[in-house]
Amino acid sequence: MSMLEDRVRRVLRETAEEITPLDVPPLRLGQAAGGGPGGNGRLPHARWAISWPGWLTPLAAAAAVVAVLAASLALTGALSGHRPAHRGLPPRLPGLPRYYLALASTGGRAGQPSWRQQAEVRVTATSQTVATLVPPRPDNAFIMVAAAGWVGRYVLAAQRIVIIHRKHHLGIAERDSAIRFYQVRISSSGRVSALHRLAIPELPAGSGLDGLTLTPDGRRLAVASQPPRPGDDPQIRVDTLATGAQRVWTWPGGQPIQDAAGGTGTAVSWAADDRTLAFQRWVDGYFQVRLLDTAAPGSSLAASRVALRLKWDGSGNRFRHGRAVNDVQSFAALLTPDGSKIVAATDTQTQRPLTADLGFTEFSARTGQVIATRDRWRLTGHLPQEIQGVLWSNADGSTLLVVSHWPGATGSQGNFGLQFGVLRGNRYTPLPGAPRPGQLSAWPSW
Amino acid sequence: MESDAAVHPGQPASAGAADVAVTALYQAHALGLIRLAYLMLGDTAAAEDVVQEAFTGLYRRWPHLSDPAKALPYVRSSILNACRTQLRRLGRQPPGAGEVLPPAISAEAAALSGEDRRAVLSALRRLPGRQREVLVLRYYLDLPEPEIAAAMGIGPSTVRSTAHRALAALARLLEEQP
Repeated sequence: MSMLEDRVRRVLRETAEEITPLDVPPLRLGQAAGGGPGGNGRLPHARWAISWPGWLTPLAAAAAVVAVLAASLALTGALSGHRPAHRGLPPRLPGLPRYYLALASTGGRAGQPSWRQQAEVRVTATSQTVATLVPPRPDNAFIMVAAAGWVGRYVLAAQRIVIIHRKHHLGIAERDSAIRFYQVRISSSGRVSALHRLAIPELPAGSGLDGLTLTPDGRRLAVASQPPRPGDDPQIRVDTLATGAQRVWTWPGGQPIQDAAGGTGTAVSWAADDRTLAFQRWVDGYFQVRLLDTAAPGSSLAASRVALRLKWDGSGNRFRHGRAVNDVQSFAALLTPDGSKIVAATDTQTQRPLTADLGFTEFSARTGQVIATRDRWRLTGHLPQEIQGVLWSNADGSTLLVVSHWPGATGSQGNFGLQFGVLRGNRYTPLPGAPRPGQLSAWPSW
Repeated sequence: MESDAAVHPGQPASAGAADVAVTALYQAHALGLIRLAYLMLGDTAAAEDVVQEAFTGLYRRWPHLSDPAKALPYVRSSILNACRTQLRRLGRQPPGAGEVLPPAISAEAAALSGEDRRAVLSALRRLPGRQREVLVLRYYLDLPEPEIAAAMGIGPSTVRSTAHRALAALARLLEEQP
């Protein structure tokens, strides 16, 4: 047992003992959903998985429009700073959407009355904030964003998060609500529309939102989620925003649909054909990227095709390219909009000396084979943390927006030298004026 | 710490039998499991909730539980999953990026327990979630590798290598601190 291990053990025990036997509340089995052992765990009322019968579709569309208009009127006041903070068009970086949305916390710690998690509309070329979107009441947090930056459409998932400390109390703390969806549009001049509550079903309280992505034209929204009750199946639903039409796919007994980078929302991504949806999942020691044809009949995610399969070997997701065994540390992969490639941050590590050659790898979406690894640089003296990732791709993957260690970074430089940047071919440049990744609550969306 | 009190679930039977068995399991292990969740979340109420929810889930699944010995690993695994979900829902910051510790740990603990404890907790907080989980299960619950593997849904060799990497990362982080 090393000194470090002793130290960790002692600190963990001291900290854990802040919870005393008096803090243990009685078990409340009588409140179990589904009516007791063997119950199906479902609430008595229907959940949000609504499907419109064909003959009702026109009515559904009309209802959707009315609901959006009503919500828009009701929520206009929830928006702050919606006027552009500059005259004329803001500068633009070639080949990139003009704006991005970033989530950031304000008002103290999570759960305090003043706390909230808001969305900042920033200019890609300068990272200047031109508007701030505040979650409409009763919600106090935007928790994920999907962007179709080329057409200026964005969908934000919002939730009420309240943390109530009730020591020695039998009551259960209510900390989160259903997850609701809002849309906002940003014009090229930076004018931000009112926040519209989308007339699509919310996710029930207790659900896990694992991924959110808009088609490049902003018309269809894919939502990957884990239902609130343990044992229920993970699912992906696709909402057509204009009509309210919805389809749901599940994976009976499947593992959650999520990336391996902490749930940044890139667990799902669309091709520009508006029908091919990529999603990520762990299964039996492998990490998979699968492609689902959302135009095909059926409702099982198992019908999707495995596009990329990486073995988790204990320290990373391994793949072989040439003589090198490479590592995908933080697997948040994106399907390029042309549907041809899957792009992800990768590295190749050595232990003596301790190095990591970082890069971004393109895999063929058809065969899963490596096409190329771009822009490699060496990190010396420590290994990368599991937080690199590809955040956005242009049509063919030749230009990426990424979060990555910066060239020459060492652990002593704080925050592991992470930053947001643009990768064009093999050329990496930091995103001008971008906030440090640690200043944000989630990675930006373009 | 969790006690070693023997609890024998199984025998899929009536709701009453499930009540008794699950409650007995809870009484034997709740304190250790709440502490486990507290170490992961840094919030007492949240820790109590995830443990409550895990036992509720066990209660529902009780008739389908083929092996009584799997009840506790099932609950542990549920708790770890719930902790991951909580952290994600609260807008989890990237590992290593956050300057803020979980609320309960950052305030009272840091003030009362001295610099060393603060430093170690801060470094633990900056580890990737998987590495932090392995260290907590290994050094707080003293679980053997197969049980850690079962709780996390990974292989025993993965537990070893993750723990090795976690300690190495922790050492580096502690060296970096002033």
